Amino acid sequence: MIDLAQTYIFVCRGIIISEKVYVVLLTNNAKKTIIKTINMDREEVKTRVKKVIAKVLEIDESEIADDANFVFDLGASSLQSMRLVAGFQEEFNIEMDEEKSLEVQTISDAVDFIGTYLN
Amino acid sequence: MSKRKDVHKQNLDKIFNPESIAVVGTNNSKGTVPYDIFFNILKTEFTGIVYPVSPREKSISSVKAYKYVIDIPDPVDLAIIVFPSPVCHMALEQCGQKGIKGVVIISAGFKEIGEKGVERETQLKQIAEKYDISIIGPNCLGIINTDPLINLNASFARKMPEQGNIGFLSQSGALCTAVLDYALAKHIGFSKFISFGNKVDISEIDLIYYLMEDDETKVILLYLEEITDGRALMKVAHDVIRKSGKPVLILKSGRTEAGAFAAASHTGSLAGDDEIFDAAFKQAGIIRCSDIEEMFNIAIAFAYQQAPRSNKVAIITNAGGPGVLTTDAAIQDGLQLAEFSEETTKGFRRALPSTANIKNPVDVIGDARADRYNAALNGAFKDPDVDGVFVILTPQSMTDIEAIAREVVKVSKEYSKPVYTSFMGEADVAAGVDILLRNKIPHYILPESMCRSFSRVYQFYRDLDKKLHKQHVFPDIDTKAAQTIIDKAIEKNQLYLPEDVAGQILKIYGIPVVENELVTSPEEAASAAKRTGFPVVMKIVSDDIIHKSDIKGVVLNINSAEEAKKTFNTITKNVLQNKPDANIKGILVSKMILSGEEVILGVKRDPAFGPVIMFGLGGVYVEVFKDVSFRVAPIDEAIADSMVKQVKSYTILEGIRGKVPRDITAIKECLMRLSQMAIECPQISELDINPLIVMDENKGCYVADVRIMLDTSGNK
Repeated sequence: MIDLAQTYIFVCRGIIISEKVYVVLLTNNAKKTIIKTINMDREEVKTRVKKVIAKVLEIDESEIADDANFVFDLGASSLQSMRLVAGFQEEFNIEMDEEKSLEVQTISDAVDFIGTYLN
Repeated sequence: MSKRKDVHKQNLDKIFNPESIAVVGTNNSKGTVPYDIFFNILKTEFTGIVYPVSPREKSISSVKAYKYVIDIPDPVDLAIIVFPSPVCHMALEQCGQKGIKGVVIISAGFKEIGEKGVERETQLKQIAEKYDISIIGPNCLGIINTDPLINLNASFARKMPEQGNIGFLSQSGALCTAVLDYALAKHIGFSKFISFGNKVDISEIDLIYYLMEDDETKVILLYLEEITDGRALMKVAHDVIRKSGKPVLILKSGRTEAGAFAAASHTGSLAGDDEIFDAAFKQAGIIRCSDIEEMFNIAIAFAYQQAPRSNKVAIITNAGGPGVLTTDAAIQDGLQLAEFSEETTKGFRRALPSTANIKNPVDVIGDARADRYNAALNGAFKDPDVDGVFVILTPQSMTDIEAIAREVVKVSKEYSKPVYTSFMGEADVAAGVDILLRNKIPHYILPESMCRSFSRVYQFYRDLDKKLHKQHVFPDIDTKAAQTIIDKAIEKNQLYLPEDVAGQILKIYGIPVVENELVTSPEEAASAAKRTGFPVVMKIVSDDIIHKSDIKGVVLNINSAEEAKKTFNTITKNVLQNKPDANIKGILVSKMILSGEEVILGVKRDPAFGPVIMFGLGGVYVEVFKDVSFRVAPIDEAIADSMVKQVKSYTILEGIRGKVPRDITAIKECLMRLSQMAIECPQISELDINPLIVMDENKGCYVADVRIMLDTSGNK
């Protein structure tokens, strides 16, 4: 974790990518590293997770239960599971461990898993 | 029978003869396993009802789909689960809630992928036990039942096989599709076709018992990659063969020597997996096949033709060379050429040209057409000495191949004797072969395969009434005394029993050991040698030395007390030089036996089959000549007799060139006693008696050296 003074400096060199404040550090080889997200609560993560699922699986958000299993309840194929991972990464601007992310089976697990990258 | 076995017995009928099926986890993506399985069931016109279960689809191939299996309003007999492995347990749980008792899990991603997969299988087992479900799979191709009353192809094979009476079981799904394709080309039909994959619940044992009871199945074929319970396999095969007369043919892959690498004894290194499978299968009456072709060659012989009453055959050919080849092959495979009666010979003389050979093999000459084959076939079938007819054909320009094939079909139907054919060639004979195969006449490209298949069928029926062999129990054995000695060694964590201690165990089991004494000084050695009588042998005894000769710890042919003293010092010096850390217990002085034949007896404990007994020609070249036989314990006199007679060097024991026969009865008794020891002392992992010196007939035999290895891992 870095202190606010440091954050302030990084903000000067970074960009804001959503209404929330993200601090992006551009290293010498221009690789982006996300270092901080501020104040995204669990409920909001869940809403955005459902939004991604609805888009990738082409289903109505209202049909997605909180404890739904991507495969067993929502019928995600293996290709769709990979697209979901890509969708979450894009939505939250994070880079997830691919192998571990494909082991995530339910919406609540996905919220927790994404949370580990956001915090 | 265990509770699970009872459950399977009840549920297997639901699995193979369901009135309703749910395909759980299917979808509309053509060319994928979840879709193809559902579509195959529809396509083959399953006589019951099929319900697609799909989380997303409203319908699959125009059939209304259900989101969950529990949503299906009617009862369901069988569920085929095609979900990815991480959620199969969820589908299975719902099957349990729905009351479905038969489940086939097609999905891969279980124990074959490692630890995670093993956990998934454990989960499945727990759910199956909770709801009394029986599972075939996972990681399998599926199941097929060709019975027209059922018409079930719940697999992702490309085509439904023809109806027939061969039951095929396979651990490999991929092999199944190859076998189905092969069988379709040869019009080989199946009663049941079962891919059982990882056998998480239902094993090949349960399925073989099921096929035993199945009226549609006449022959049982099994492809196995691993044998987890060899003794159970032997028992089921024995039960099936004796109770139903159905042959069990096994193709076992993985003929490796891996098991032999870790062995510390001659027996261990000689008893590779393959030798043990061979021995076990033979004892159980299982026909072991070396490849798929041989398996089906034999299977069609069983499936299409009646059992031959004897091994006497008539050969009918239109070519001299192939006739001779067939005769050679027949004789080599233990068959006999029938001797035609006068009446048969007269008939042939009348019906065949003067140039024809009217003796067996009957040569109807190269220009023969269907009429000559007809005459030869009728004559051969009618002859009382003939119990099987082989028809050979080579395609000449005037040979009416298809007409001859039809003649074979027509004439053979009139007799209750088996007919086998070999229309040699490929392209020209193809149409004729097709006629034969469509009419269930066994056909073989090579006459050698034909003879071999007939021979295997004949041997099977000849041995059908053989009973399972039981251990011959010797009452003079103090098992407790042997156990006490072994327990002491295990307490001390000894992996190897020194020769004097191993000798004590043999004596307890009534296996004669050469007279010997353990000495600890040169003076004691001299006295012991005198008492024993010259010449003597002196050998180092140490818990730490297994291979005594390697460190010059054995000296033969000592002829005086003085020499015995010197030898004591020499052996001690050699051992201290070559193995300075060895704890020397003493030196064994034993009588040197100058005459007799050296044989080897051994025990190895196999993980699948348990104790295996070995017999063979002994001495230092045992691993070079490998003239040994194996049997799974227990063994009785008949088995011991067959072990001794199986080795090539048996003729030496019988006495060659005027030599007196050796005491074969004593060898057999030793083998039976050894078998009892192997069963009663499970802590013995390996044992070598090498050599056992066999004296002349009625003069017994003596163990000159013994090596016993123990399993100290708590296998008591």
